[in-house]
Amino acid sequence: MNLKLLDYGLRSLWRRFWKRFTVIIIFSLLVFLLVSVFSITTSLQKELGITLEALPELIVQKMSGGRQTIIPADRAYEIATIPGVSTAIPRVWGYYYFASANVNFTVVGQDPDLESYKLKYSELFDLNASLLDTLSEPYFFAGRGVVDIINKYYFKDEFFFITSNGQVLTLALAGTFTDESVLETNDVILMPEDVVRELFDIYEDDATDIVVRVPNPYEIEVVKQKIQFLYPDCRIVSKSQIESSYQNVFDYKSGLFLALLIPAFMAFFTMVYDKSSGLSLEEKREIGIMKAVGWRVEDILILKLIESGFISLFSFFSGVALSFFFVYTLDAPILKNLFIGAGNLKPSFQLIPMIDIHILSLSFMAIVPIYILATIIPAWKTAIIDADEVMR
Amino acid sequence: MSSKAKLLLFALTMVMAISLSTGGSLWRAQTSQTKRNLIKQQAVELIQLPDLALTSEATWLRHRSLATPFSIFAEDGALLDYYPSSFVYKMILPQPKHR
Repeated sequence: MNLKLLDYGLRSLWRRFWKRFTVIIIFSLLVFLLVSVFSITTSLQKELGITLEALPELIVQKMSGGRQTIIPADRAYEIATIPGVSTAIPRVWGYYYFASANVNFTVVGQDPDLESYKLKYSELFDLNASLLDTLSEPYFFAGRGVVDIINKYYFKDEFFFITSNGQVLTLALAGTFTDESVLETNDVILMPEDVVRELFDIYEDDATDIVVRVPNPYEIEVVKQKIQFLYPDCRIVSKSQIESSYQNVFDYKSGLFLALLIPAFMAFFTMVYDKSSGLSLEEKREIGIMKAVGWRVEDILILKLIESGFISLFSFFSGVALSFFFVYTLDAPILKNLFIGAGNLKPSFQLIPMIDIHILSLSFMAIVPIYILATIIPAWKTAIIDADEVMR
Repeated sequence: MSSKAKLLLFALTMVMAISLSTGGSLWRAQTSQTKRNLIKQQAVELIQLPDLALTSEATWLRHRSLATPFSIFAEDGALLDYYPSSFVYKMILPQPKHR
C-alpha cells in the first residue's frame, strides 16, 4: 500500500476530529453493550451446562389439584423395575423460610455419614474440624449465602430450626460449601434425611419426589412414558426439559435487554443511512479538489477505506476490550443484576470465562463492513462525476 | 509518516492487541476450568437439584424447572411469573393409533 496515502488518510482523521470521535464513542458503546450482555448470558449458560450433566435424567413429582404434593416412597421400587432404569431414589427436600431475613433456604436430606463427607467431598466443603470429631448432635452443611445470613443473626456454629409443629431443632454447622460451587449451593442446607423429615413433618413412607437414573439416553423418553402410564397423577421432568427451561430464561432476559437496545441500533442505522445517502458539501468539494489536482478514483476510494476502516476497527476493538474488562475483571457490576434479581440471598460469584465467537463475529459484521460501505459508496458516487461539476 | 498518523496507528494497534490478547487468555481460561467444574458437578451430584441459586425469594424461582405448573400468584400477587420461562411441563398424551 502507498504509505503516503496511508499517512494522508490518517492525518485527515484529525480534521473534523470531534465528529469522528463521537462516531467512535457511539460505535464502541454499542459493541460494548452487545458483547457484555451476551458474555454474561453465555457465561451463565455455560455454568448451567456444566451442572446439567450431573443431574438425574428424570424427576418424578406427584401432582394433586395442580400442585406438587408428597409422593409415596414405595413408588420408587415400582419405577426401579422398569427396564432401562438403573436407580430410582425417593428423596426428601424442601424450602425452609427464614422469616427474619425474608429468604428461603433449600433444605436437602442426604444420608452419607460424616466420614464420606470427609473423604469423598473434601474439596466441596470447608469442614468445621473442631466440631466434626466430637459430633454427637445432629449436624448440617450450608452454602456460603446461608452461613452469611445466619452469622448476621448471631448464630455461629449452630442454628435453630423451627419444625412444622413448632418445636425448636438445634443443629450444628459441620461445614460450608466452598466458593467454587457458590452458584449452585448458595442457599442450600444439607442435613441427614431423618432430620429433614422431622423438620418438614414428612412420614417415613413418603418423599418429596423421586429421582430416576436412566443411563441410556435413547431410553429416557420411553421410560418417561412408562412412568406416566404407571402413575397418571405424576409429572415427570426430564433433563432435556430442564435444559430447554434454561434456554427460555436466558433468551427472555437477554431478549428483554436487547429490546431496550433497539433505539441504540436505530440511531446507529439512521447515522449509516444519513451517511450513505450523500456526502456533505464540504466533503464533496474536497473530493472535487482531489480530482482536479490529479487523484484517481481508486486513490480517493482507498483514502475513504483507510478513514472508515480506522474508525470502525478502532471502535469495534475498543468496545470488545472494554466489555471483556467490564465483564471478567469488574464482574459486570450493573448488568449482572439483570440476571440475578434483587434479594437478600444473592450469591457473589465470578462469571466463568466464556468467549462466544458467534456474537463477536456478528457484532463485527454489523459494525465494520456496514460502516465502510456506507462511507465508500457515496464517495464513489461523487468521485465519478467531473471535478468541475462537483466543485461548482 | 507524520507523528499524528503514527499516533493513530499506534492507538489502533494497542487496542487490537489488548482485545485480542484478553480474548486469547479468556479462551485459554475457558478450556482450563476442569477442577472448578468438577467441584460444581460434585455439588449438583450431591444435592441433585437443578438451577442456579440466583433467586431464593420465591420457591418456584429457585428451582424453576421443578416449579409447580401454573404457579402464578402462588406466593405473592406482586411476584409475576413470566409464562414460558418458568415452566417445563409438557403433558404426554396417548398417541392416536394410525389405521
